[in-house]
Amino acid sequence: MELSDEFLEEIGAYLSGQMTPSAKNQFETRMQRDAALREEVAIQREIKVGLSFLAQKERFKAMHTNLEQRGLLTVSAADRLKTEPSPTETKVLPLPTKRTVFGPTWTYFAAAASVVLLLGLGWVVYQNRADERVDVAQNQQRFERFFSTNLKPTPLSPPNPDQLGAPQNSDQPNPDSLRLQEAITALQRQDTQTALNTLQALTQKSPGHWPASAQWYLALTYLQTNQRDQSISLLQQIAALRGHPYQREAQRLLGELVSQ
Amino acid sequence: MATDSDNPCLPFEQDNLGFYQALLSDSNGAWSCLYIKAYKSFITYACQRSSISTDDALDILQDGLAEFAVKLKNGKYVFQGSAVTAYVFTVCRNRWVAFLRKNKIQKTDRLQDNTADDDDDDSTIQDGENHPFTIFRRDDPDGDEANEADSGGSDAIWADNEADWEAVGRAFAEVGADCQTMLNCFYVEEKSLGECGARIGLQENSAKVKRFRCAQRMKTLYTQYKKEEGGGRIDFRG
Repeated sequence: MELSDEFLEEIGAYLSGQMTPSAKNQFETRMQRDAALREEVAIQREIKVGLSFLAQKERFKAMHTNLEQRGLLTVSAADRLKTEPSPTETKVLPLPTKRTVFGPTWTYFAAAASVVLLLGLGWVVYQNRADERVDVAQNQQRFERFFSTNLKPTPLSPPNPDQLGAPQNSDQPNPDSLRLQEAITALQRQDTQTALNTLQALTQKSPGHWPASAQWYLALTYLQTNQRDQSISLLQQIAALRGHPYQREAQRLLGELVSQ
Repeated sequence: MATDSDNPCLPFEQDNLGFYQALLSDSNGAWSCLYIKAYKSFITYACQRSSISTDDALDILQDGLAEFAVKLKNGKYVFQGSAVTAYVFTVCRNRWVAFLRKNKIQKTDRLQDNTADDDDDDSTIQDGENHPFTIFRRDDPDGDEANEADSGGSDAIWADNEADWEAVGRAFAEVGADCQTMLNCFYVEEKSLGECGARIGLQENSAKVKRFRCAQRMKTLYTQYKKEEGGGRIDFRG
């Protein structure tokens, strides 16, 4: 069957459950009669399911990176025990029956010093990593507190008395607002790379409500990806800009970050 | 170091229904919680019982979660009181078994489970009570059908083909960036033509033409690759 635009539209509505019950019945009756239509629906359905599957997999890959950075994927000994199906035979290692003999006395000191040194280095590395994780977790918590999927609307401009009878253009969605919404959706599903690309492109546009809003979300994305310095630098710009839609939020977040 | 307040599972402890509803409403915290639970349980389970790499186990886990997410969205998964995590674990485990068989990998511990052998018997897993993911019993051969909507209804009108996601992936990689945005917007996000067009800077009329051409190209490539490939099937019938 040759795919036509009308068929694509119709099949799309059917597969996404957007048909009215009567339209759905009619469509299914047609499918029962028409093997070619049935086959076309099956192919479209496979593509839809396959693409959804791939999109979900990407989402989980991004989620993995995020959770790993936050230190939430560490498998503890208790976790390992939970997955043990039954008591297993534990390998028994014989303990040494004779004391191992070292060489001259200085080798004892060398060995002891090495152990102390290694323990010390290990402790420093451990502490650094622990500090990093605390930072990542705090950044994540702040991100979640300040992040909102609801965009602030463009401020209403005072009515122009000459255009009171003119039709409003508000039905037409602004492309920048749609792109910003797209970036927010990406952030929501933790696809930070897509969000970063879109937001960086938006902030390069000429000044306006949506590029300004994109700045705020870019600062949040920097925070979530642990680029703290970039986030602070951008927040400082927003906080200093009177009339910026997210000036207050930026000032609050900046205050928290700087006092940390 | 992760603290308790950073634990996304805290709001869902002991609340199977609440957890399911949060997943259904696409709560990021709920999905993060599911990922953490599935990761901690499945990766250890798979790596202890077979010689697969952690990367392979991770790939299987993410495939299993993606399969569950699609089933949840299209209504194929039906909540019946038991923990969602148990169902997800079974989906992952089935994929792991298929992976072992496909790659002719033997299990490392035959005493525990006969997974890679022909007599794949779930009942050999004996710690159902303590395991975070209680395993489904043998009377459900696929382990996951108890929670799946009946596929014998009106949805079974068409040929019961499986989606070949590897072929979908190959085709999708070749359609170009604008088509990828358009197809994702149309098929996955189910957005309006106006919104999909705006994402690539097109007015509605031009977007309609673009969407059709992209869908046509996708279909041609998909059917071609599907014929070439045998694997990578997702059984989401119903």
